[in-house]
Amino acid sequence: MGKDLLREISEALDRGPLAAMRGGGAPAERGTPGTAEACTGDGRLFPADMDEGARIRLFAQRAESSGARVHEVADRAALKAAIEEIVGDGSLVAIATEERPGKEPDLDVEDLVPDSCSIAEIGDSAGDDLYRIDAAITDVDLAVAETGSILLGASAARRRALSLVPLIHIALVRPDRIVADLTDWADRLPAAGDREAPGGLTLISGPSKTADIEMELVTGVHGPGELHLVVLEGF
Amino acid sequence: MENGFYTTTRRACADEALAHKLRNATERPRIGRETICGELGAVEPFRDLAAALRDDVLANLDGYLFRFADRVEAAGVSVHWASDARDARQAVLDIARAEGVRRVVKSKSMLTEEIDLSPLLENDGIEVVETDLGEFIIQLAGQKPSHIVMPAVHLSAAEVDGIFRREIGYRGKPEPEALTKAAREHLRGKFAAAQMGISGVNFAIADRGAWTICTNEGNGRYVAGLPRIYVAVMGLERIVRNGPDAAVILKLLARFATGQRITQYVNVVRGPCGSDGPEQVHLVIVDNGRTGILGSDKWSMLRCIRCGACLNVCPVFRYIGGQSFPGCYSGPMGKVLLPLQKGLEIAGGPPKACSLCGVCEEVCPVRIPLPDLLLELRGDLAAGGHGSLTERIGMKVGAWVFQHPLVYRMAQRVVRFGLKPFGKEGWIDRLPSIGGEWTRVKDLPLPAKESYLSRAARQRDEK
Repeated sequence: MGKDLLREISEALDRGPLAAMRGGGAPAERGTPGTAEACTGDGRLFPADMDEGARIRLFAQRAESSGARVHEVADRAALKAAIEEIVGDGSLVAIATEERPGKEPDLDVEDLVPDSCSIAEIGDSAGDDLYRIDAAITDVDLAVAETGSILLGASAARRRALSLVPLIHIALVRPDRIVADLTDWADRLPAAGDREAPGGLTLISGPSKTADIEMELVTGVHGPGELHLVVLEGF
Repeated sequence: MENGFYTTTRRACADEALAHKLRNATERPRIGRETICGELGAVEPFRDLAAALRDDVLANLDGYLFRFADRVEAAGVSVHWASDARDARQAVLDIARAEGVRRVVKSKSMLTEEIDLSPLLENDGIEVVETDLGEFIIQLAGQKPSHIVMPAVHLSAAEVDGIFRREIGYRGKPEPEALTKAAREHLRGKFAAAQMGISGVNFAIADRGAWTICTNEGNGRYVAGLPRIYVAVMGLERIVRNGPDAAVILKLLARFATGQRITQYVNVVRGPCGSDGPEQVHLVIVDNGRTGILGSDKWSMLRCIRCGACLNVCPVFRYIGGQSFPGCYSGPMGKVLLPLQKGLEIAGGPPKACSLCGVCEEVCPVRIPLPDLLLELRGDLAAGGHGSLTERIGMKVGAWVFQHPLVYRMAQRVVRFGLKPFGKEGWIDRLPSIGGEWTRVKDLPLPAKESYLSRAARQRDEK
């Protein structure tokens, strides 16, 4: 079936007006780099080697403009205070970070949750509990300054539902994870066949939103209504 | 069918509230696009780049698709090829049947509208729930989308309130925020019990063996991430070469669609994900007329990335909206795509609903020559004998007159004298017979007392 359709496409192209633009060889090689000579420019808006201070400033500004709240904290006490202010008293908080002792500088995120709050147990199937969680704290794989975005890969520890279902999402962003341009993000997308990389990744830019009724902006449609990006400077 | 389009268009034109809602809905993304595109610096080279990238992919589509399909299959995705709408919906139904699926959650996808997927699943007793707010509203109302990006722009909050009261027992205020929250709560229950999620594909990335879903609400994340089975339906032209090319298209897509830098969520799907995500991932690659377009002189229509910018600026669309069109696509891109997919017999009306003002081409991020394509389609219509007899005879006579200067000059004189009795203060506001079709909607100025040709000749003599 697939072969038939591909052959039909080959024939249509060979006969049609695009024939002159076709690269040579069998379909398996066709269109490999070099055939698109007309494609000049790389579509970059910011250089990859932008300095860290500028990256953080751009990231914060762009994230705010897409509706996220950015908190810049310089030490652990400030981080703890920021989280306390965001989640409030008596909330059910889920932790979905991949930061692990040995693998990453351990943030000991559990200790950052205010005493008045409880921490959700995340089993294999979160079930109904998932819908009772008030806020989730995650780390990020990458952040993009150009668009003020964060990237989260799905994994057993990260649990994609946790950054989606609760109304508040708090993401801890290390400055060295912030890349300048969307092109840098695209360069870092996992290679095909990389079995270690997650099956799904999500680039998040601000809270869930819609304007489907009378073009009026409403946040928190299916995903979080609040996205807090806590930039860990000097950690 | 052409008469059908004429009738629906006339009805839409008479609806002043609709025109008001459409203007409101298309104005904001239009201003947003203009503002945010400024950030791209020189936007023109960006559009050149995007068009060139699309052209390279289209010219070598067999190669890119072959390698892409190979890579996603290696990652554990089941790939299904569908040559037409029937095959495509059957492929999805077969997956649902094999797995005993009773409930499906869907994110917005124009391709699933194109292949008319939901009715087939529903006939089989499967509950299909649209989860994009706009699509959810029109599903409850039993309507079709009026805009490819903003499907419910033709409905006011009061109308949505009425639909929600009737269909989901809503008892809140008729305000966008409260209505949105009600939809959130209602749909949460549906997500929790769905066995299958279905989405479209914004674009596939050939060298990474991955595809993307762009949403603002986050429903794409639910649909592709939470149910046990996930099915993506993809038009076979929706592919880019590699990561950096994907970045270029992403930079343009949301800017031209809604005036955002990027949609709130961009999902990248690489395959099934046992530890956290769907156990089964299926990809249905749909032709449905695309190969035919690819081999034709109208191949450039396949550059389209479905941003909807051309709809927002089209003076005709802004009056009639999308529901008048004989298919799910509308606006300038729909006027070209519908006849190419459905044939001129069924969709010959839309190419004529155009003043050829050219603004759609000016805003197209991938530079599709939409006015040229529309003109060519009109030529095809005429060549295929699709016009009325009067129109065909009129055109033949007109062509002959224009080719014979002496006849032309005589004809001018006849028209000038013939129209004189109908004029009042320089204007004609009513004509008999076929002329009445024109004066029914607008006045016609009386021809000048002297023709340009004779005045030019006189002035030359006077020198």
